[in-house]
Order: sequence, then structure tokens, then C-alpha cells
Amino acid sequence: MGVENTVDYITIGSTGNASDFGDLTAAKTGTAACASTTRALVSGGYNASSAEVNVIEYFTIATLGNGTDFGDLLSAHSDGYAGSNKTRALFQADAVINFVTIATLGNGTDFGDCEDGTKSAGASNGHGGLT
Amino acid sequence: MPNYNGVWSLSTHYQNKTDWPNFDRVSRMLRFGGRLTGGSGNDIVDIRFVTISTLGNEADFGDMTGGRSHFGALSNLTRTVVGGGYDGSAFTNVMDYVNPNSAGNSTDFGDLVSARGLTAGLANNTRGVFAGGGGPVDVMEYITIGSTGNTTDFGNLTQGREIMNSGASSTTRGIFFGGNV
Repeated sequence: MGVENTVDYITIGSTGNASDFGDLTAAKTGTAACASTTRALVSGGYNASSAEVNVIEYFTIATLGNGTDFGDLLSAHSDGYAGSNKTRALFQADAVINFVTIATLGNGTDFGDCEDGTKSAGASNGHGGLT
Repeated sequence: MPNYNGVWSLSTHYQNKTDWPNFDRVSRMLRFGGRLTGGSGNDIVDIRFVTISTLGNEADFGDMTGGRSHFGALSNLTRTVVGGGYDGSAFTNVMDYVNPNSAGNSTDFGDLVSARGLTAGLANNTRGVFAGGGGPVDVMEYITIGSTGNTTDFGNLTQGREIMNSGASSTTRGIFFGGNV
């Protein structure tokens, strides 16, 4: 078993197998992802050395390609959750929720606290796949 | 789509909301269950939320039908669904859902094709897809979010993967990132 940097994509409306989209900037697992209508952001996770990372990277959803550095979380974190509306992305990092403005590269800023710093899953009802 | 120009009368506001039901919807991020950092307690039942446009701490939303961790989550505007996971003793095929706009407990949605955890989810307005999972497996299965029921086969990932945790999506394209192979 190994940690992978591959990124797959599907056309949600059409059943079928996934295709290669590109690569993460490094092999990672346990990341958290969200999107605006045009840009997908991926944060944190474990790298191939099983170390938690604080990297946020982004992809342009309509254009196949590799990830590009966006900025850093306030702390390295894995197995967190993320959510977004059309302009703002949130990422859990330990007991702090980080936010970034999706259109503007930069580091995470304190949004507020998670009650107990859990490793969880989450979703948002305003992300890029919704109109 | 309403015309945003000018100052709206109450009747115009009502008409705009009628023409575009999402025009004043507040986006929320929901967090479901999970486990405590450090690996203990795989059976948290809490659902918590924040309003994405307003800085602040998580607040209570409700409870899952049972405590679970290691599952995938997806959402459209009116339903947020979690699928699979580990209930503290075994992996499960259970899917739960809530209306993210109204705090409350989750309700049974249906079942994944098989019991598994470490999945990832994504969605557009109508369809949600759960992908990968423990094994690792290359399975992708989908639900029609507006209709409760079991999942249906979607296709396969380029290879078996687990712990992708979450996907990201536009209205048409869904993307899954990395993971263990």
C-alpha cells in the first residue's frame, strides 16, 4: 500500500469510469476538498512519510492539469473536513476552522473553533456544484 | 434569474425569491460524527455546523442515526448525505441525510452496495457519488439526492483507493484526490 498523487475526474451526469485529471503537488491521503464553480481546493492530509501537511493546493476544474500551491493551513492536519460557498472555502485544521477566499491565493485565517478537534467528514450546501 | 438593480419593494423581493429559490439561501458547512484526534472514540453522533459567510464557532445541528467515523459526505442545496463508515465495531453500508437548512437529527437514506468505510463523496444539484473505500476498492456508486433509496453502480476509479476523504465538484465535473492505493 502506498500514498498516491493521482487525481481522477468524472462527469457527474454520466455514469462511467473515472479518467486521469492530473497530479497533486505531492502524494497525499486524508485530504479535505471543496470547490467554487471554477476552482477546486485541497488541503492537508498525510504525505508519503505519514507526516501531516499544511499545504493548500488548487485545480481549475474545467482544465485538466496538476495542482498548484495556494497557501498554508494554520496547522498541519489530516482527515479533516471542508466546505465552501461560491467565494469562501473552509477547512478544519485541528480545533480551528480555517478560511480562505477561493479566488485569491493565500494562507488560511481563523474562522472559528470546532468543538472538539475531531477527525470527521463534512459537506456544504453552497459549493461549486450547486446553483 | 432576478434583476439585481435598484431598491426592491417587498413584492419584488418576493417575486425574485419565487423566480430563483436559492437567491437568499445561506450556505452552511456541516460536520458529521467522526472520531477524536488520537484515534479513540469512533462513534461520535454529533452533527455540527457553521454558516460559511459568518465567522464563528461550530454550533449544534443534531445527531446522526448512530455514531460513526470514516465515512464520505456529499450535499446539494437541500440534502446532505453521509455514506458508510465505521460504527465502533464494524463497517456499515448505512446512508443518513439531513436538510442542511434546518437543524435536526439525520434520517435513513438507504444503503451503499456494500458495507465499507474510508469513502469520499461529491455531488451536483441532482446526483451524489461515493467513491473508493477500504481495501482499497475502485467502486463508485451514485444516488439521486432528491429521492431516498440505495446506491447504483456508477463506474470505477482509475485504481482502487481509500482515504481520499472528500471530492470536489462543479455542476458537471467531479474530482477525487490522492488517497491510499
